Amino acid sequence: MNLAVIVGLCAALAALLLLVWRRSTQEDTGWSSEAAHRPEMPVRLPDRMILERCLSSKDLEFISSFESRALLRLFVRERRRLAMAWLRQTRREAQLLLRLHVSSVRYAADLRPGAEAKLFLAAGLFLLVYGAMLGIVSWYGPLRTRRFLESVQGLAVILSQLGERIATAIPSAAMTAANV
Amino acid sequence: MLLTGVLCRMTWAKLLARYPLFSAYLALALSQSAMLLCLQPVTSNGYRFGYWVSEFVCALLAFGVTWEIYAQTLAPYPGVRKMARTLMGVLLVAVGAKTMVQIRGNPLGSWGSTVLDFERDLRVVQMFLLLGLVALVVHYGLPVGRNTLAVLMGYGFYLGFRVVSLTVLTDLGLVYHPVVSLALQGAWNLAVIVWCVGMWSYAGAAAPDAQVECDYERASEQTIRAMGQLRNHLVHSLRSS
Repeated sequence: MNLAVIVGLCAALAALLLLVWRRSTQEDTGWSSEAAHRPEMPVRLPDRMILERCLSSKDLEFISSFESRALLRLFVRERRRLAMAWLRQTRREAQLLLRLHVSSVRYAADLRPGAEAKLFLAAGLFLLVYGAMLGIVSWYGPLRTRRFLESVQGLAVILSQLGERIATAIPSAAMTAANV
Repeated sequence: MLLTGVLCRMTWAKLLARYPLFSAYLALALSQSAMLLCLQPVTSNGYRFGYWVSEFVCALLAFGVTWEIYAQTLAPYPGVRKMARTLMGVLLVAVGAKTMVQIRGNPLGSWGSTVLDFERDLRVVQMFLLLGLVALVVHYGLPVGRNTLAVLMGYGFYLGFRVVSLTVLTDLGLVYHPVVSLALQGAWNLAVIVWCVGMWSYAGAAAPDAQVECDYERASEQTIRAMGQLRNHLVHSLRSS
C-alpha cells in the first residue's frame, strides 16, 4: 500500500484517539461538551432577515453616496464578516441537530446502518454546500456572491428554457423530415 | 520486565478475567521475548526467523485486542454494535477485494510476498478495523473507561508506528538495521508503559444515561428532513436576498 495512504490513515487514527482521550478526560473532570447542549435545547435556524439586511443594496447605495473608498472597504469587510458569522451559525445549528440525533438514538436497538448512512450523506451534502458558500463569500464578498448566484440562477433558467424548446422542436422536426 | 509488571498489576487488580484476550496477547508477547532470549545472538539467522514468525503470530492475535475493545466499549449499545459489525464487514470485504485484484494483476509477485509484507497487510487491516471502531465511538460520543482507553491508546500508537515503519522499511530495505530494531522496541515499550499506567486499577466506563425510549425510524427521518431544510435555508438565503 502507498506510504501516503498509510501515513494518512495513521494521522486519522491519531486524531480520533486524541479526540477520544480528550473527551474521556473531560468526562472524568465532570465537564462535557454535551452538557452544554442539552437535548431539550431546540434547533433554531438563524433568521434570514438578518442576512437580507446584511446584503441590502440600499445600505450599499447609502455608503457609496459618501464617495469614500476607505468607508466602502470597511463596509464590505464588515458585511463579509457578518455573512460568514451567519453561515457559521447555520453550521452550528446543523451540528446541534446531529448531536441531538446521536444522543437520542445511541441506545436504539433497531439502529439501521442504511438510515445512518443516509443521514451521514445528508450531513456531508450540507457541509459541502456550507464549505462552498463560505469559500465564495470569503473570496468574493457577500454582495458580489449574491450577484454571482443570481446570474447563475438566471443562466440556469435560460438553459432550462432552451432545453424545453429543443425538446418540443425535435418531434416536429422529425415529423417534417418524415413527410419530406 | 515491563510486560511482567503489567501482567502482575492486571492480576492484582483482577483485570485478567475482564480483559481475557488482551491478557492473552500480553502473555504471548512475554513468551515471545523469552523465546527470543533463547535464540540469541540477535545477528543469527535463527533469531531473525524466530522474531518475524513470532511477530506474525502476534499480529494475528492482535485481532483479539480489537475485538476486546469492541466488546468492552459497545456492550451497552446493541444498535451501535450492529453498525460496527456492518462497518467492519464492509471494510473487510473492501480490503479482501483489493487484495484479490492485486493477486489477479500480479500473481507471481503476490505469491512470492514475504512474511513481512503479509504482516504489514494484517496490521493495515487491523488499523482499518480500529479506525472504524474509534470513528463510531467518536461519532456516537460513547463513554470509554480508563482501562479500555489505555488499551486503545497504547495499541493504536504501536499499530500506527508499526505499520508506518514496516512500509518505510520494506521500501528502503532497512528491515534488519539496528536503529530500526531500537525504534520498534522503543515504540513497544512506550505502549507497554501506557498499558501499565491505564491498567493500574479497575476503572470501568461511566454508566450510560437513563435510556430514552425513542422511535428510531421517526427520529432518523426527521433528522434527515431537517438536515435537508437547513441546506435549503443556506442556499436560498443568499440567493433570494
